[in-house]
Amino acid sequence: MKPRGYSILFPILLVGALLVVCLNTWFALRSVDVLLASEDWVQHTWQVLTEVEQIMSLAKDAGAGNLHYLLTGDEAFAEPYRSARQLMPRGLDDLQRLTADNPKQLANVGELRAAMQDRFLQIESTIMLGRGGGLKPHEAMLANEGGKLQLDRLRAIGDAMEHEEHRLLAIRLGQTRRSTRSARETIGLASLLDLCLIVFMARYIVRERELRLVTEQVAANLAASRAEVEANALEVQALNKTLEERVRLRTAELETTNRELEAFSYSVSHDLRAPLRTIDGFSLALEEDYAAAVGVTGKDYIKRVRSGVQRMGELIDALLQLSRITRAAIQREHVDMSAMAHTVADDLLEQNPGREIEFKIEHGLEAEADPALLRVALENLFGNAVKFSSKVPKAVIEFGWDKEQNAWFLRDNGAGFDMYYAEKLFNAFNRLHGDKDFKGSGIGLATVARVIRRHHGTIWADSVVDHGATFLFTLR
Amino acid sequence: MAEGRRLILLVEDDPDHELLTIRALQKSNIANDVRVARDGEEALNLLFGEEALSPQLILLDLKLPKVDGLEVLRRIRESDKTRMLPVVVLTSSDEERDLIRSYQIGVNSYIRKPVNFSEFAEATRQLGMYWLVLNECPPKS
Repeated sequence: MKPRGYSILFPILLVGALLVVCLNTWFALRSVDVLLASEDWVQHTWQVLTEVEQIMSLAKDAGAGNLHYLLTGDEAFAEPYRSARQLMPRGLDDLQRLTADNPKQLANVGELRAAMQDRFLQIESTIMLGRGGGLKPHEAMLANEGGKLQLDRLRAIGDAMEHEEHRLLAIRLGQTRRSTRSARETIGLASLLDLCLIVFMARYIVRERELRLVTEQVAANLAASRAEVEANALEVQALNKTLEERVRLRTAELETTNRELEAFSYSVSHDLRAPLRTIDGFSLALEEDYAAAVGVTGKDYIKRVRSGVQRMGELIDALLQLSRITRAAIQREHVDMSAMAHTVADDLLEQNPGREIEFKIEHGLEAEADPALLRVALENLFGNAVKFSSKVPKAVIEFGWDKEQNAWFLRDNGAGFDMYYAEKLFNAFNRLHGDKDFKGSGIGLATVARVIRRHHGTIWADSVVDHGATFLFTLR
Repeated sequence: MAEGRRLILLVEDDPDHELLTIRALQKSNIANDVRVARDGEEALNLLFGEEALSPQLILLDLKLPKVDGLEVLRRIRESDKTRMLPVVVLTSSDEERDLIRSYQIGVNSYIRKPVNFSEFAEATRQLGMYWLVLNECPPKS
């Protein structure tokens, strides 16, 4: 829709329509006038004709009794003449009035008048003649002859007048017909235009109405959606409140759980270790104080008891560490990975004096991580590397950044593991080597995995049996 | 260095550990007497009660029944009579919380008991050597 064009067009069309209607009305009225006028003309013509006939008849009547009067001299026979003479002027005046618009007819009327005068004069003269006594028939007829001629003359004028009148009527009727026809055409055209405009207006109105309906519908829809939006907003608000409430409750629950876990760990660190000490202490006391009774085999047994105790102690420590890592809050800092790796490596070298271990640590490694947790992870990873390469004469352990994999890597040339079990690698207590080969608790990698996970990173491993293992991890 | 027998107050609730500790002390051959308190209340009684011991060293376990180890430590440090006594916390706990709290109250030393008895024996020997032989104890008030 082009609203601007329409808004200019519409008044123009309206004015046009009104004009056409007015024009139409004018034409219609005019044609009525024309018809009325033609009616008048017809009437006029008949009036003239009637008048002419009346005059003719008067003229005839005037001489009707003449012959008899001439013959008899009876005044009674002169009566028609007298009455005709009396009526004639008025009739001629009327005719003159009627034909006042037409000079030709007027001229005819003039002639008529003159002719009529002659006739009356003639009749008058004959009456004079007849006065006194009667005339002889052949004299009377002679006198009347002159009258006949005049009557003929009058007749001719009358006929001419009638003829003229008919001619005029024909002309006027023709004009009327023409103007009626043109009026009909014009009215027809105007009506057609009217019709077109009405149709156009109707369409316009219908379109406007449709538009209005559509707009109303849109407005209704809008109102409905707004109401819906408001309702939704309220709902969202209500949900938000319940959500906040739920979050608060959940946080409180989590805090409680955390505290309970802490208490649990605390108990563990005391209560589980204490009996271990007892076992170990008295085993050794037994060995030392009752060496003779114990004997060689007994000593061996005691050694196993004590190593079992040792293992349990390490297990407890590892478990405690794992639980602490889950609970601890992460504080990311800028960490010098190379330095930390070196520290861990140095510690391991110190703890394993008998072995030949080479650490190849890249320079300038940096990370954004929690230093304490990262330290634990590195200790476990490096420790594993050292442990599982214990059967190799010279252990080579590399640590650096792998650009392709976009991760840190730790590679050793130790025993490696079967990739078939790779999935279980990071589960707690899952071990891929028996105690016969390598002692361990199976918690180390689970701990590392947990540290990595808490940093939102990933860890995976690659290995070939007896050809070492590579562990890769990311920290974000 | 003062001659004569030195008194050690051992506060330990576990009788097994008590025996082990005494054995370790004996093995280290440091001349000393050992008095044992089985819980915090007994410890306080021994220190502040009628007997009023004056030990040269107090070996204090933290997890004690009745009165907790840290509470005992606090009482020791509060009283003028006992404030200067050397106290060594000897505990299984490696909770940082305990460590910090102990030092805040004013412990002289914090030792974690190793599970391995040999290590424990060695640690005890070193303890004894240090605190009773090398260290100058505060004078008896």
